[in-house]
Amino acid sequence: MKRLLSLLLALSMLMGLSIAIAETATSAPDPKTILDGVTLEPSKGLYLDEHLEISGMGIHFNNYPTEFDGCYYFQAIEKLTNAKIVIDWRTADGYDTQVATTLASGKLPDIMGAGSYGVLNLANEGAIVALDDYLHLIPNIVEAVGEKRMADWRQADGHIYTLPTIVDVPGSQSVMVRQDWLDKLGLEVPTNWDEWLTLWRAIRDNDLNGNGDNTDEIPLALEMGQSGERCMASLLNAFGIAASADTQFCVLEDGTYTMVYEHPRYFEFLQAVQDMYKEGLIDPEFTMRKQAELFTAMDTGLVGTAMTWAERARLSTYTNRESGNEDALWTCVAPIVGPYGDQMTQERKAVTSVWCITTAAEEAGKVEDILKVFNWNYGKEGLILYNYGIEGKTYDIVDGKYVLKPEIVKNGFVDYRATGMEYEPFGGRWFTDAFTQCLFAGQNIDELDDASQSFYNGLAVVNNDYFYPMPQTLETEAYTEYRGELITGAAGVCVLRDQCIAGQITVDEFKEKYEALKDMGLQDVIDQGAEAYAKIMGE
Amino acid sequence: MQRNFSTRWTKIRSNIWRNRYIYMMVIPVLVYLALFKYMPMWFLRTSFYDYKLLKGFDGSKFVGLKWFKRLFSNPNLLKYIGNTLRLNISAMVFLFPLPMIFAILLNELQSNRFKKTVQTISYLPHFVSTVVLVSMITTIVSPSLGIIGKLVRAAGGTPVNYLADPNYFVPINVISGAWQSVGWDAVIYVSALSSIDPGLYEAARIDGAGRFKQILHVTLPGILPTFVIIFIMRMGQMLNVNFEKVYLLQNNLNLPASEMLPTFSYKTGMESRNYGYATAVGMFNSVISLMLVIIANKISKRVSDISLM
Repeated sequence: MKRLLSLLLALSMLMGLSIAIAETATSAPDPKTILDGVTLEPSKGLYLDEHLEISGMGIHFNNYPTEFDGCYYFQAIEKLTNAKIVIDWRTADGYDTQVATTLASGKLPDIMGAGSYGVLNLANEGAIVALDDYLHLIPNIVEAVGEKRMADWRQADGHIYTLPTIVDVPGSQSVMVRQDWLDKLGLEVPTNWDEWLTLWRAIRDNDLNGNGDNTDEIPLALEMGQSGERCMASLLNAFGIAASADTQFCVLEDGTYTMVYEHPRYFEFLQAVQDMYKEGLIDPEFTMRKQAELFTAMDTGLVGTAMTWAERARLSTYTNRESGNEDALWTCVAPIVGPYGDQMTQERKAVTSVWCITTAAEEAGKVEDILKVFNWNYGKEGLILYNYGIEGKTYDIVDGKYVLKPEIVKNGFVDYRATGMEYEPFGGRWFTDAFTQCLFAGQNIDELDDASQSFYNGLAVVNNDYFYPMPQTLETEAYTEYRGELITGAAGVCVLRDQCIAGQITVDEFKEKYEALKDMGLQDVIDQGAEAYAKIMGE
Repeated sequence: MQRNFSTRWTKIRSNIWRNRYIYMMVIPVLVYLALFKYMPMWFLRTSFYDYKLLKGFDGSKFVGLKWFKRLFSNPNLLKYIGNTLRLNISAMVFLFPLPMIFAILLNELQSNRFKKTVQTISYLPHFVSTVVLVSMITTIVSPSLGIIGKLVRAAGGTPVNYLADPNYFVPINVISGAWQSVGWDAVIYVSALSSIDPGLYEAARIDGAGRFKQILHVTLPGILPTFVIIFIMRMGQMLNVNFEKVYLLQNNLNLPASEMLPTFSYKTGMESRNYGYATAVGMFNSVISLMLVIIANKISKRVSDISLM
C-alpha cells in the first residue's frame, strides 16, 4: 500500500514538474534569438561613456520574459546605451513583504518598484529620492506624462518620486452581458435602471444555462479585488459616484476630493445594493469572488452580467463554446445606467508609478545616469524598441509606418508580450497604434469574429462617451496610519459596507458606525486627502 | 566550600566529556532557539518606536507607550481577544483529544496491515499546505461553484454561503483542522502506546478486565504523561496556532468572527507598515500566552503531579 502511494505521489510530482517546465506553444519568435544577426550601433541619443549597471527589484508578470531569460529588450538597451539593467524580478503576491525584507536588510538596489508597499511608505523610510529637482534630466518623460496628467504622477505629499509607465488607451474594463441569454429572454441591452433591474430579475428566475436548475444563475457578478474594494465600481458609477481604483475616494461635482461615503448619494446607493442583494440580483459571494473565481463562474455559464477586463468577453465566449455551448456570446456594453440616468466608467489609469530611485543609487552617484537611460527609453529610439521591437525581426516599415509582423500579432497581445515587447513590468509608453495592431491581430474589424469584435467594442467603442478620469488614492499620513484599522480592518468601513449590503446591519446602523469611525481618525483621512488633492492639483 | 565547588565542577566536566556526543546533538537546537526565539526578543523594543525598517532603532523615533495606549483604547480589542480565545479554545477542545482517541482506536485494531493503511491515509492530509487546504475549503463550500452547493441544489434546497456567515467560521476551522491534523498528531500517541509494558495488559486480563477496562486502566494512564506535556506545550502556542488558515479564510463578512490578535498584528505590521503597533499587539498576545502556560502548568502540577517547571 505504502509503495503504491509513494509511486502515485512520485508520479504526480513528476507530472507537475513536467507541466511546470513545459514551454507554452507559441508562434512568436524566441526573445533570445531576436538579436541574432542584428548589429545595433550605439544610440545617437544616448551612449554612456562608462558602462552602467542598474540593479533593480520589481514585480514581474508571467506573460513577459525576463532579462535573465535572455530577453532581447534588455540586451538591446545595453547595446544601444551602454547601460545594463539587471532586475531581481519578484511575484506580485506578497511583494510588500519582500520589499520590507529588503529594507530591513539595508541593501537596496538602484531602482525599486514600490508595488503594494506604497511609494510614500518608501519615501518615509528614507529609501527613495524625490525627483522634483531632476525633472530637467527627463524631458521626454515629462512630455509623455503631459500637463494634464501631472497630478497623477505626484504623491500625496506633492512630490514626484517615480518613473512611470504610460498607456495611452483609455479603455480596459467593461460591463458585459450574455448576448445569447438576452436573446433567449427576448430582451435588448438595457438602456435605463429599470430595464437593468428587469434583466437581472429575468436572469435570476430563468434556467438560462439550461442545466435544469433555475437557481444557479448569477444576475450580476462582482469581482472583489484585493479587499473587496473593486467590486462595487460598476454600481457606484451608476449612482453618479466617480470613484477611485479602490472605490474609497471620489471627486464631487464641486471638485472636492473625499471618501465615497461622503458622497450625497452614497447611502441611497447602499440601500439600493442592499435591496438587490436581498432580491438575489447581485452575487451572494461578492466578498470572496476573486478574479479567478469570477472567470470560472463566467466560463461555466453561471454569470449573466459582469464588469471586468474587456478581453474576458472574448476569452469566456471561447471557453463556453469549447464546452459545447455554441451560441454563447459575451457582449461588451455601455456602462450601467443608474436611477438618475448616470452612466460612467473609470478611465484606465494612464500614468502608473513603476520605479523609484533609491538612496543607495544616490550614494553611488548613479541618479543622473539612471535618469538619462529612462529618458532615452521615452525618446524615439526607446519608444520604437518598446512598442515595435527590432526592424526586420518584429516589425517592418511599410509606407513610412511601423507594422508589426503577422507572427507577432497573430495571437493578439499574448505573443507580442511573450516576445518581450510592451515590457510593462519595466515600463515605457505604449502607443495606441501598437495596441490596435495587436488587438486586430493583423485583421480588419469586419474580419474579426463576434467575440473579438465584442472585445474591441469594450475597449474602444461602447465606453468611449462615458469615461471619467479616475482620481488616485492619495496615501496621506492619516490614510497610511488608519487604513488597516478604520478602512479595511475588521471594524473598518469596508467591512461595514459589506455587512450592510449583506443585510447584517441596516443603512442607519452603517451611518452611525461610520460617524464613530470618523471620530476615531477617519475624519483626518478625509481632511488630509482633500488637502493633498488640492495641493497636487494646484501644483 | 571551595573544595566542594571544585569537586562538583570536575564532575560536571567529566559528565559533559563522557556524554559529549549527546551534548553535541543539542547544539543545533540551542542555536535554533537562540537565533529564532531569544534573539527576536531584543526587537520587542520596536513596540516603543515609530519604527522604520531602513533607519533602524537609531533613526526611528522613540514614542514610549503610544502603541500600547492605542491598543488598549481600541474599542475592538475585547472582540479580537474573544475571537482569539474562541477560535483557539474550540480547536483545542475538539482537536486536542481527537488524536489520542484515534491512536487508541488504531491500537485496538487486530489487523496490522489495515492499521498501517489507515494510519498512512490519515496522516497524508498533514502534508497539504495551508494555502491548498484553504483553496479546497473555499471551492467545496462555495454556493455557486462548490460540491456542497450543488448537492444542496440537487436536493431542492438553497445553498448557504458558509464562509460569509460568521456563525459557521468556528465549525469550518475545527472540521478542516480535524481532517488535516488528527492522523499526524496521533503519531506521538501511537509511539507512547507502543512503550506500554504488554505485561500490564496481561495482568489486567488475568484480573478479568475486558477491552474497555484495559483501555481505561492501562492504556490511558500509560499515555497520560504524554497527554499532559503536549497539553501544556499546546497552551503556550494556543494563541498563535491557526494563524495562516484563519487569515486566508477571512473575508469582509466573516471578519467580525475571524479577526484575532495575530491576524490583527500581521495586518498592522505587514499591510499597514506600522511595525511598532504590530509589535505591541504581538507582545500583548505573548503575555496572554505566557499566562495561559503558567496556569496550565499549575493546574497540571496540582491535578496530576506532572509539569514542565
